[in-house]
Amino acid sequence: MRVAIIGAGVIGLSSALCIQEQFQSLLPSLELEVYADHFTPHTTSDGAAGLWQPYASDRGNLQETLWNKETFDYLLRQLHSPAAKEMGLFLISGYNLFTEPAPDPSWKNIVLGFRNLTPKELELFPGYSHGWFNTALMLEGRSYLPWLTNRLTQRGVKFFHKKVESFQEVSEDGVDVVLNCSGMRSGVLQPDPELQPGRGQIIRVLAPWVKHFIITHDLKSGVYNSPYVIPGSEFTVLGGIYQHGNWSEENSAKDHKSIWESCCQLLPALQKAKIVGEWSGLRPARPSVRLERESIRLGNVQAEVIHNYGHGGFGITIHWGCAMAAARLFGTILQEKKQLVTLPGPRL
Amino acid sequence: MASPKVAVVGAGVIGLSTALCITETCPSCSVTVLSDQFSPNTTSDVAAGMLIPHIYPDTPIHRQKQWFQETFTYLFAISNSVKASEAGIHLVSGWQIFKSTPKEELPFWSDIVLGFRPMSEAELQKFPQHRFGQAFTTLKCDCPPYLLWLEKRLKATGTQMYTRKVADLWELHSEYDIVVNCTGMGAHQLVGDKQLFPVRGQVLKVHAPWVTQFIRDGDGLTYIYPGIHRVTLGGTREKGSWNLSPNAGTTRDIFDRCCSLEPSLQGAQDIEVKVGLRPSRQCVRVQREVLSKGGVKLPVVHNYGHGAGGFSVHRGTAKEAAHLVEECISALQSSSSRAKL
Repeated sequence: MRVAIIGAGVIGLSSALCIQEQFQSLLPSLELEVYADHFTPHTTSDGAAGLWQPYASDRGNLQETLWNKETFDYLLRQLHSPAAKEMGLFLISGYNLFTEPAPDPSWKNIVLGFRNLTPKELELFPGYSHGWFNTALMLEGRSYLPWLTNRLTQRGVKFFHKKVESFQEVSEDGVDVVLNCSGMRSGVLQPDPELQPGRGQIIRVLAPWVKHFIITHDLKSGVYNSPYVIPGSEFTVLGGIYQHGNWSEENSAKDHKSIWESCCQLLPALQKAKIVGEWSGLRPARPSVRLERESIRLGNVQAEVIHNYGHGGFGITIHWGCAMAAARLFGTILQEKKQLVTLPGPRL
Repeated sequence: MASPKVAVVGAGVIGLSTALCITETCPSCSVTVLSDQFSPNTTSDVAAGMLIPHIYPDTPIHRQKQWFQETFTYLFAISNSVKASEAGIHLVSGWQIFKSTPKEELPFWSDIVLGFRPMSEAELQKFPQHRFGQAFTTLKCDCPPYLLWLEKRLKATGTQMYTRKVADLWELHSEYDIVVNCTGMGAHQLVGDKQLFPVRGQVLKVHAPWVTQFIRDGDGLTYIYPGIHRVTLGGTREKGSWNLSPNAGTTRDIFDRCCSLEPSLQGAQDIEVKVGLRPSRQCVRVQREVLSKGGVKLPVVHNYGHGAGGFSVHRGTAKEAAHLVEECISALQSSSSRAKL
């Protein structure tokens, strides 16, 4: 049973790991293969700061909220394990700021210690009248992806540096199930007008005195179009760009200026921070995540495809819940193909 | 008295902040800092510099609260400004945890720090051996940066600083009009204060940049304080010990205790061990005195004995000491005008 995972970002690698963990022992003939044209540190997941935080508004999508929760709870359980540091996983507290009252987010009971900001705390952020404080998690892609890759390699998963142009290509090669975790480029494999780039740009600085994340919100200009500061283990990420429909992965001087000025206004001490890098990436944005099975007739073969893409700016936040859901879909495929008598039990 | 000459003895956080306050309240004063040690070799450099007050049994609580409030307000403004990184001042959030619920669930400073509240059940799950906790955000003064920044501000006012071991305050009476004694543990010898005693603290300063939250056990013995470049792991409170040499067994013990609260510290690198003697006293001595010898008078202002709470109250006690210096100046001026009559 050959399974091809297309894409080696956080979605592809975690889906592969989930399937491997749940089904390898039940199905010794299982062969997992990861195909991607970009591997860490060159994926979209590597550019993200790595903060676990869904959007302030859940877009009415309860399923996504549940996947977010599953991911947070899973990561929280890993926090005290020896692997945490290697995974790039650690606790972090911080601020969400608003210029007007905002309804409590869907994730207020998922994170730790969620509360409104006190008037004295708001003095730190002139121009903002409301906000939240909570403790969440960081999962840095630059560490997490290599960690996932090592686990997968140890378990015999094969990696291929290859740009897959069509599902047919892998199916004709004899692959039984395809996991489409191709993020932004999924449209190449199958057109999807709902999938659009949400272009982001970030500046990386050295500001080790910043110990909190600060995410501002401008309900008029939309998600991520307002400055944010996210400290990581090696550098601090400054951002605040979200351009729907912009495919450019080139750094823009205009966006640089906007990020720099707005973040320095938020945290004056940043004026003294040393800039160590800049990056642009495309959030694979979609009105909702596409996580579903599809049987595709390709020539005289029926190919089973599991789509798992369109995670926008919350891929890291939602990844494990989606990986588990993809694994469940895989389980049903195995059942149908009579490869499994029963699905894996509740321990999973 | 046109330009009173003031000597401040001691260049830790107390000496430097007191000297700075004096230049602020008395711009005509000529201030000189004398110390046998400067940063990075002061007791203050060993401390983590966390703004979490230590309770002095014999100082009235309202006075301790005022000192803390003044210090917090002063540093809060710096943390929020462009000077924050140079001054080494930053906000840090975290938890104080207790194995058994403390008698006083609301310490006097709970309304001064930010966002103080009891920890939730979910947060306490991180600490299975602890049953109660408090979450809040406070400030940290990283040393050497904070001390170096105070030194820089002092130099800008024209304050001179000299490395000099003062063995007797009377050494200074011919060159200076007023002496300010900020010698911390040195006051034991310098002014013979037997109420002052060392409480030895050993700490580890490690590289662990993924630790963003502070954790403090309410017993005050185990703590994890993330600073700008290093995390301070502590500690010990050995009353009466004058030993400044690191102890290897203690290092192991501190590391183990901290790892049990924060397992990821197992991966910490570059462990540096430091020892400091907290200059402890039942109450902080912020007091005026006029020494007298053979008809000569020497006004002295004492500002020492801050024990484990130096950083938490430094600005408040510095301001009080600066006011006492003003009183000394007034007294000198009125006695010199009386002398003229």
